[in-house]
Amino acid sequence: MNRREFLKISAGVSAAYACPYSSLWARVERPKYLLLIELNGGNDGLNTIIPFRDPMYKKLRPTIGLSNGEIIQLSDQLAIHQALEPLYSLWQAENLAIVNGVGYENQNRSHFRSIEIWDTASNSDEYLNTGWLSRVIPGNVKHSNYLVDGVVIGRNATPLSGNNMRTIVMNTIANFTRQAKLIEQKRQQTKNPALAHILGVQSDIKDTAQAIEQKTLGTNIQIPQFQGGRFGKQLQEAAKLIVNGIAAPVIKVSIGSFDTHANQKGVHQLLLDQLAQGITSFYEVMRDHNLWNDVIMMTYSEFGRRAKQNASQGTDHGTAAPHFLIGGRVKGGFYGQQPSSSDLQDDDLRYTVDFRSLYNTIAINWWENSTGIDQSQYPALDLIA
Amino acid sequence: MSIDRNTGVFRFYKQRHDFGKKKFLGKSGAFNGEDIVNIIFEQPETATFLVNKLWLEFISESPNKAEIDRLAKIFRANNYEMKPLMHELLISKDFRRPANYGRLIKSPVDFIVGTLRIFEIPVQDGRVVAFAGAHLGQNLFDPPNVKGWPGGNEWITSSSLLSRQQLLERMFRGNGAEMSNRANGKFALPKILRENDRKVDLRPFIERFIKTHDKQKIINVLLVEDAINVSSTTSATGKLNTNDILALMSDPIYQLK
Repeated sequence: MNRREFLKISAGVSAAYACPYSSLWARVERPKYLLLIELNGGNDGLNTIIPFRDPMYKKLRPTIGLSNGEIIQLSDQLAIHQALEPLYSLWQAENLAIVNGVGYENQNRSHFRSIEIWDTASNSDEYLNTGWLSRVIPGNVKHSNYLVDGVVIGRNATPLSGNNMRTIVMNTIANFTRQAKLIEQKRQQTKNPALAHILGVQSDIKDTAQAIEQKTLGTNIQIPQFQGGRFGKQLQEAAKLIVNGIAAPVIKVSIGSFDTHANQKGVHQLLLDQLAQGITSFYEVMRDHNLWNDVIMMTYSEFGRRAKQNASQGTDHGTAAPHFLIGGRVKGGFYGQQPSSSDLQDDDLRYTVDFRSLYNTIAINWWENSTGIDQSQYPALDLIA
Repeated sequence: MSIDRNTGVFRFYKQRHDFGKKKFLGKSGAFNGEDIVNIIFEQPETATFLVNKLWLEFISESPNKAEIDRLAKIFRANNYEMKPLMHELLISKDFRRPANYGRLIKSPVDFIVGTLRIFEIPVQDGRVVAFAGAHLGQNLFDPPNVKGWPGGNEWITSSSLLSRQQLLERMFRGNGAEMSNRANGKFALPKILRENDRKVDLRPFIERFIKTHDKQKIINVLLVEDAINVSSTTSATGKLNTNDILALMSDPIYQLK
């Protein structure tokens, strides 16, 4: 019996608690969800978490720098962009962790290459073909409520790619289930790997669509409209999946483009607005359904931007940036070290936390039963209660 | 230095050029763009690399090393001319070996162009075809990164498989314009293009195809091996109808080449 069949059988009978395998999961009582948020294009860290007392900040950002009226102070030294104001109550509730200075050695400044490095958890000079989650989830993260290993809503499924990952890519649940009706499915054994792949994808589609329809027919839990534009719509779909109990250990959404080379201020404000509003709507639904302790949100992006603003009122591709982890079990506060804006390396911020430490935080401290990714080299952060 | 996208010729920017000596793949000198290309083609690895890519595109996912070396030699001996190489590749035993039939997944270009060619559908505006390719994950001349499309099994995800199926359904619903756009509202075409294309009805081409070939020939052309959804081929007695054709093309085997 392979893993696919194992999950199928287990999922089928778990409702009756007659499953001989259920003891395997006894330790994990409720499914845990990671909501992965890609900030596509490279988010400007220095205008997200602002070292507002640092005189260098104003020098590096003479016109696009944020004034004291445009920020919300979080600590003696650091503030958040005013657009993130909706997140302030989560900060006060200590459900928001901000990890400063996240990056990696020998930063690559190409969007494509750098997001690939993040998506596959490779070194800067290493080429890997599978997403980091394929090394963390299959075989390790188990729960009968997981239908597949991952769901991508929108673009870029790379972090969830890999032959061992059963990943569903969709735009909306309704669109997905409607399209799935066009697929005719016959189960068949084959030794042809290409055909096996297609049949596997087909059966993932069919199983998922069927389960979605059954569950939503049975429970049909409605949730309110989300704020936050297109990003909010993606989060709304993610929330629907989780609330109806039809999700996966990881659901990925994305927002962008943060590639703010010119006239950054307005665009950045708008994007952070949507980010904060979407997250807030998501939080409210999770809270109302008593699921807030079962989810964790994590942001990532290919890079931060250069410390110094450019001549077009924007910023170019840079290095380290802060990232957020948010959830009921998150121990709020600052983690990592804010990179110095005077001790730069080639005019760029020096990273203080390797991004794989974030991944290990999820793999080891959140899902608990995964070995993580080189955890001796990139230790998990102690930010989950 | 950059490239003129229309002519494929180097554009040289004197102000931006560093005229100093550089080391590249073991050679030193004050190189220009042409020199760099020449040095790359002096490496035997270049031919092996390209032949390997063609193998993965035309034969199978598991290249035969001895054959790759043989073909790479031919490629170099012919000064990197594509035609002699492709000739050798396409008459090779490995290309003809039945065990290698249907071992590869059609790329979006294979899928779309192949479909158009099977039914001999003339293409009035290539952009429509290009947009359809983009929708299925292969935006021509715009690979996701310098490594190119990952290809192979990665062409098929839950999302792209559903999009392929939807595209076929639309072809058979008699509105060819839908082939290219609207699937997710993502690749909305300029209005003029849409209106022109709305006149294209693909069903007559499909009907002509059915009339001019017998049943077995049609199945052989569409499917590289036996259908998985057997019912779709056995249900038809004698002549096939358009629904049978759609059923054959909806079979997973139609995704293979």
